[in-house]
Amino acid sequence: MWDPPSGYDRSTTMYSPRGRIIQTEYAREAMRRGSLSIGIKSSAGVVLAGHIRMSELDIPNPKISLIDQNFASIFAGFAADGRVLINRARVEAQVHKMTYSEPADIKYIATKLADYAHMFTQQGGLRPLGIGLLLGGIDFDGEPRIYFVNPGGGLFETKAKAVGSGDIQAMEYLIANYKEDLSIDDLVKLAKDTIIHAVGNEESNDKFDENKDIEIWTIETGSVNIPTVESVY
Amino acid sequence: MAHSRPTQPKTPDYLPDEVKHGTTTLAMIFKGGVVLAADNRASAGYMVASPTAKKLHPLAKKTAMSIAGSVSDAQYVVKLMRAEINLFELNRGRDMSASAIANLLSNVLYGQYRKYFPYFIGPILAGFDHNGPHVFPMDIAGSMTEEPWAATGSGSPYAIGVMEAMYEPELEESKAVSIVLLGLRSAIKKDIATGDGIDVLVITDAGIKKLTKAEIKKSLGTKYPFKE
Repeated sequence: MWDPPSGYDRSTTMYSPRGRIIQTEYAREAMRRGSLSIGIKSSAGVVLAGHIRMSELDIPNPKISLIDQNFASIFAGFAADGRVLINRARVEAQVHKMTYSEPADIKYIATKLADYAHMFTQQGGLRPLGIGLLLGGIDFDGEPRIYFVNPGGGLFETKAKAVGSGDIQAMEYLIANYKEDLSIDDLVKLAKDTIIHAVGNEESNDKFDENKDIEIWTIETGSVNIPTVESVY
Repeated sequence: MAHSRPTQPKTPDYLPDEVKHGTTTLAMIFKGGVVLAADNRASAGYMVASPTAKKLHPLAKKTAMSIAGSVSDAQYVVKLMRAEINLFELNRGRDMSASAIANLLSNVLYGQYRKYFPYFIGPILAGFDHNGPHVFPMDIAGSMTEEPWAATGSGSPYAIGVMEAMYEPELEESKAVSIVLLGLRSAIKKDIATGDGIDVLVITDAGIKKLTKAEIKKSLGTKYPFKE
C-alpha cells in the first residue's frame, strides 16, 4: 500500500509509477474518517442508516437527504462536499423530470454525481471530493436499488454497503448477516445492529447512544406511489 | 372592493395563426378556499385545435395555475415551475406558500419579458396557504396583483360581467363554484374560442380537488351549456 514519498501524491493529474493516483486514495481516507453510513436492500425495500456524531449541544442535523420522491442519499466524509453533491443530485432529478416528464433512474443521477467527482481527479489544482455517497431508493420499475459513488468517481451497484469510520467491522458484520429475503423490519434491525457493532464497541465512542445517535430511513418496495402534483388528473 | 381586469395575453401580429389561442380561465376565492376553472377548447385562429385541452395545472399540494395564451410557452412554464417548487421544498423541508409561488412565477415572466421574448401566457395562479386563499392574475410582463376573483383569455370579458355582478366576500364554496361556472358558461356561449368542456379545481386547506362532470352539471342545472 505505502509508496515511499516521491512527490506523486502532490497532484491529482499524475500517476505514481505503480499506476495509482495517490490523492484520490487520500480522499478515500477522508471518506473513511467520516461517520459511518450504511445502505442495505432486499426485495422488501431499501434502508439507509447512519451514525450521527455531534456534541451534546448540537441539534441533530439530518444525515440522510431526500433527492426525489423515490430515493434518498447518505454520505460519509466532508459534509461540505456531501452537501454540494446532494444539491447537484436534486437539481439533476428535477432537470430530468422537466426534460422527459419522467422521474430519473437512480443510476442516472448516480452517474451524474460520479462524473462530477471524476472531474476532480483529472483537472489540475482541484482537490478530489472527500466523501463516499450512497444513493438508495425504489426505481420506477419498482425495484429497490443502491448505488455507491466514491471520491475518484467510481460507481457501482450494491446490496449492502458501509462507508465511514468503522467500515471494516461494519462490512464484516453485513457480509456475515445479510440475506436476500430480509423484511423491512429485518433490514432496519440489521442496519442498527451493524452500526452498534461497528461504532458502539469503539472506546472513542463511549458516549454513543444507540437510541439517539442513529438515523434510519426506510423506503419500502411498493410504497412509492409517487405523490406527484400531476396525479390530480 | 378590488376589481379585476382582463389580463388577456396579446399575441404579436407577426406570429402565425397557429400559435394564437383563445380561452377562458377564471378563479374566485370563497370562505376557506379558492375555485379555479377553465374550458377545454384549444383554438388556432378559427380552427378548434383540440376539444380536450387541459388548462388547469396543479403545481404544488395547494396551488394550481390556469393558462391562457400560447400552449407551448404555458406548458414549459408549468414544467419549470414544478421543478423550481420541488427544489424549494426539498432544500427547505417545507411547503412553498401560494404567494411565494406566485412571486416566483411573476419573476419568471418578468425575466423573460426583459429579454424581449416573453412567454405569451396570461396565467391565473390560485392557491391556499397560511394566509388563506389567493388569486393572482398575471400578464405576459409578470405584473401581479392579488384579487378576490379574476378571468383571463379571449372569453374573459363575458365571464367578468357575471363575476363582477355576483361576487361577494365570504362566499360559501358551492356559491363560488356556481358563480365561476355561470361566468364560464357565458364565455362558452358567446366566445368562439371557448367551449367543448369544463374543468374545475377547488383548492382548500385539504388540498386540490377536481370536480366531476356530475358535480359541474349539478351546480349549473339547466344552465349547463352542453347537450350531453
